[in-house]
Amino acid sequence: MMSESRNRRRRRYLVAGLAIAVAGAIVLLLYVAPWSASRPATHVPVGTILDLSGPAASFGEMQLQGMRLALEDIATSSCPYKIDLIVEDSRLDPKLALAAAGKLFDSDKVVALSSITGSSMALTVAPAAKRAHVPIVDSLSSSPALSHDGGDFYFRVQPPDTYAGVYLVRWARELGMRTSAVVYADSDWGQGLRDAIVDAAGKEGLTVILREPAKPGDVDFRALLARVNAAHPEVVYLVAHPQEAGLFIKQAAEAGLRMRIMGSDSLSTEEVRTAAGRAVDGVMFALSAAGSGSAAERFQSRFQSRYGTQASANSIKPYDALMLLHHVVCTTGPSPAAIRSGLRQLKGYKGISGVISFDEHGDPVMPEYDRFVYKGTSYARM
Amino acid sequence: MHIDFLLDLVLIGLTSGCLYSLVALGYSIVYGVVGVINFSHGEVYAFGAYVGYVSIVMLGLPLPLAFLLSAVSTGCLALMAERLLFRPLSSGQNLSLLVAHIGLSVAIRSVLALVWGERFRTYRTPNAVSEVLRVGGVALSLHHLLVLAATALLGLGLWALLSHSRFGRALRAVSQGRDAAAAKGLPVVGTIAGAYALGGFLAGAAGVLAGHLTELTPQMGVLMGVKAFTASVLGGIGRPWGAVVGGLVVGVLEALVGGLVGGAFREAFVFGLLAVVLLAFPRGIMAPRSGDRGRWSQK
Repeated sequence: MMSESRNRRRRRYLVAGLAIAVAGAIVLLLYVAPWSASRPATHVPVGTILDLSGPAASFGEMQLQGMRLALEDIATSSCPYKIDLIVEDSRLDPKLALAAAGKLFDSDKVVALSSITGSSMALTVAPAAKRAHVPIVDSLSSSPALSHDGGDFYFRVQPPDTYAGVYLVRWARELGMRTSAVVYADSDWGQGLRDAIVDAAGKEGLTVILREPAKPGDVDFRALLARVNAAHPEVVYLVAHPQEAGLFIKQAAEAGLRMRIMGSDSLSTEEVRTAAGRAVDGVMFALSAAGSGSAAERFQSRFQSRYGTQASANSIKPYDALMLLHHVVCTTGPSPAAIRSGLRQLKGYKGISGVISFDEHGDPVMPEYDRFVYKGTSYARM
Repeated sequence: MHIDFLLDLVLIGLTSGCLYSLVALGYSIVYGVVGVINFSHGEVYAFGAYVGYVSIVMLGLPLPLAFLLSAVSTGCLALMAERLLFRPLSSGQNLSLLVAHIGLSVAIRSVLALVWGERFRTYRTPNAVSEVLRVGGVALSLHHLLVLAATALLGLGLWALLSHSRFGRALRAVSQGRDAAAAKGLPVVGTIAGAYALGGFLAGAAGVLAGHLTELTPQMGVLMGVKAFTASVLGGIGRPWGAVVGGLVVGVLEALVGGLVGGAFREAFVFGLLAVVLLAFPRGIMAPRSGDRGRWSQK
């Protein structure tokens, strides 16, 4: 009797659970349905795969800020084509980035991608985009490997790190330095920039005494710092992701080390300032040119009033990438094939960061860089 | 090779080792009385670090109070888990208990990620850089000294508790045999609950100390759990003082490998060490050569 009533109760719970699950599914479908409603023909679906909640989330946020301003400009432009931006979060995980790309290609039917956070994500997504015949206009991915492995549907407004490596080495040589160490992220981006620095150092007469990886997610760099300190380099190239870079700088200060630290865009992020605090003072980095002149000034004041902070290349490049894509859509039409052909033929597009044309690898020609240094916990152009 | 460089590495290793020891103690104490590895222990440590974040950064509490709050919170968390999850399963197979521990670890990690997100958190304010103390050519930050001093104090307190209290005696008795302990009228169930709470307290203390040295992420307990577990196996799991020695040995060796060979080999070394210890010294390096009567026979 007891077990019979227990069974009946169990069955009742099961039925109630199933009913709740079905009701939830119906509510979800009703909620999602309006999203999948057909869009006007002049609204062009474009996808973006950003890190919005992972270890490089500040990059994703900066990219999105720039793209939001671009969407406003596109909405008020005279071109009949408008862009519906579909944002996906990769959490800086190549597997999630690939899944997001699949959803954008198959379900959302995007005609192009604009901006991906992280070179590893771009290297994973680019072959899938090529298979789906969807062009990409990327903004911040800088791995030299993308010049070849990105394929012929991949374009970027950010120069490959081969240029950044040469620039950083020449900068150190201008300051009279002769010895260096490279602490690099064990990722496609980190290894690419490390190789670029080492290659350039060999040609410019800068000795690289030490090359040490900083694994993503590593939190204890004290033994590594002792090793770097024992080697006595005049400059440390810190090519680590923001979280590790900030902690490295902080732990260097706590270990009482006084060494010149140089790097690239990862050192410009909020994570570095948060993790390193006051220890970031004096750290130097180079960013791909963020532009100058009246257009750049207007963009800066608009960005400042909207977000309360100065725009860096990390927001300006994504703005340029999306505006450039819209320009091509307006010129050639919204089909992926027409967009790709338009990107191939594009010459002298005037963006905020400068004049953009693509070479045969989809890389920008004639890249320029700006120098920055931290004073206290904020940085300024040198 | 300069002697200061080696001394630097040893000091770095000792501070990491202190944290490993505190967490390893939890593994050892719980294993001593239950006979099962508490695989949720690393996440209890992470939970303590986040309670420290709330106390220090959000509530602005002074460090000693935040330290106490974190350690007590994790002690309570472990106590609750024992009462609501582990105790009901303790009469069944050890396998069920093991699965429950793993399940709890995943649950804590998920809750931390849900509440705080995957982005790192830090205790530090922009202007707070630890002062650096220099002794000869060796530099040590005040945060590292704090870890060393707090661990020494906790170790002293633990020694007093285990050696000179009724709870300590009950813990030893239960670890040597539950039935015999029950026959002597000792509160076996309460002692097991106390072991979990004590382990949780020490893990929370380690969490809030680690928060001063590093950044907080929901995943921070995973690697710490592995290293502390290695330390407790190295010292002979079930032997609290073996866990302390094991933690310090793992910390120092890890720093020496990181400094002399390179950071890429550090974690590989810890896992390799675990494998070697299990092969060569199945009962740990602190196990007596003969006459080992129980898990706590060596005080």
